[in-house]
Amino acid sequence: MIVTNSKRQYSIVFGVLVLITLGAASLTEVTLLPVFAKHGVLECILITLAAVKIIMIAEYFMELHDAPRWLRGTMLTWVATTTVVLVGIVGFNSQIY
Amino acid sequence: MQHIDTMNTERRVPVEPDFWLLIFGDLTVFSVMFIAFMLRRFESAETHAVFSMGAESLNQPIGLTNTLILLTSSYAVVLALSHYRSGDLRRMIRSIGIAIVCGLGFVCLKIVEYTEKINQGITVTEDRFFELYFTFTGIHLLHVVIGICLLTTVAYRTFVKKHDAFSTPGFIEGVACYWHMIDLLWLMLFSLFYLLG
Repeated sequence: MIVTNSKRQYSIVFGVLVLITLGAASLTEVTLLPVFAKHGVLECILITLAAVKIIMIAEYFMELHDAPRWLRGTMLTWVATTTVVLVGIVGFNSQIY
Repeated sequence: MQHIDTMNTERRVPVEPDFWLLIFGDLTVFSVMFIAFMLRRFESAETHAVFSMGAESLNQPIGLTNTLILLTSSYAVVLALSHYRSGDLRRMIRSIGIAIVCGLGFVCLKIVEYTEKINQGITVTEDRFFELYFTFTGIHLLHVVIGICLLTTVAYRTFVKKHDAFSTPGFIEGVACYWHMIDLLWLMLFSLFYLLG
């Protein structure tokens, strides 16, 4: 039974990942938000969406939700650090360019 | 079944702990690359414009298709691992086969993309954007090729029922984890190169 539930969970995660990917790709086509794009908001959203997908893959596909705290924490720290630095660079520099 | 229950309920380290050193080493190298990309992008108004034009000149439908292909392959790998744990080796091999086909599809589309660019006279020396584009996606492509070789090894060893170091649960979980790492790295590469333009 556990195996069956897991498969269902994997399918749901896969569906959400595809939806986020298509959503992120369509966001770049939206011309209604040029003000956000100019201030780097759209870029921050896209980076954050990528980070969310990475966390989902790590948690469910790499099975880190069952892993010890140190391993899960290391992965989440890597994702959070990389995302914060990237978003920070965009946020800081979008005021200039 | 009791073994599977235990694996699903107890907190355990997926894959050999040593293997995570390789994973985190690779992730760290790539995160440095992501940050280097972003710093280069905002180096000056000129580089910002070059990066925006570079991103717009990329084939976005191919990039999106490659992302969906890798997500599908990751899904296939996770199902393969699930079949392996339940002892259904036939379905496991079929799922790995799907992942391998997806991986090969990714490689083919990347070659098409590179060829398209080279035919337009755009190479690694074109500008700073394409210097990073060819380098980063090239390194990632190398990871994909290695991943395909590992998946093929696992599928073959399972098919011929050969019991050696390449058919242990630890190795199979390691290959699955490595493939997911390739997928998650591409997700960030796709966002940086294709979407941020």
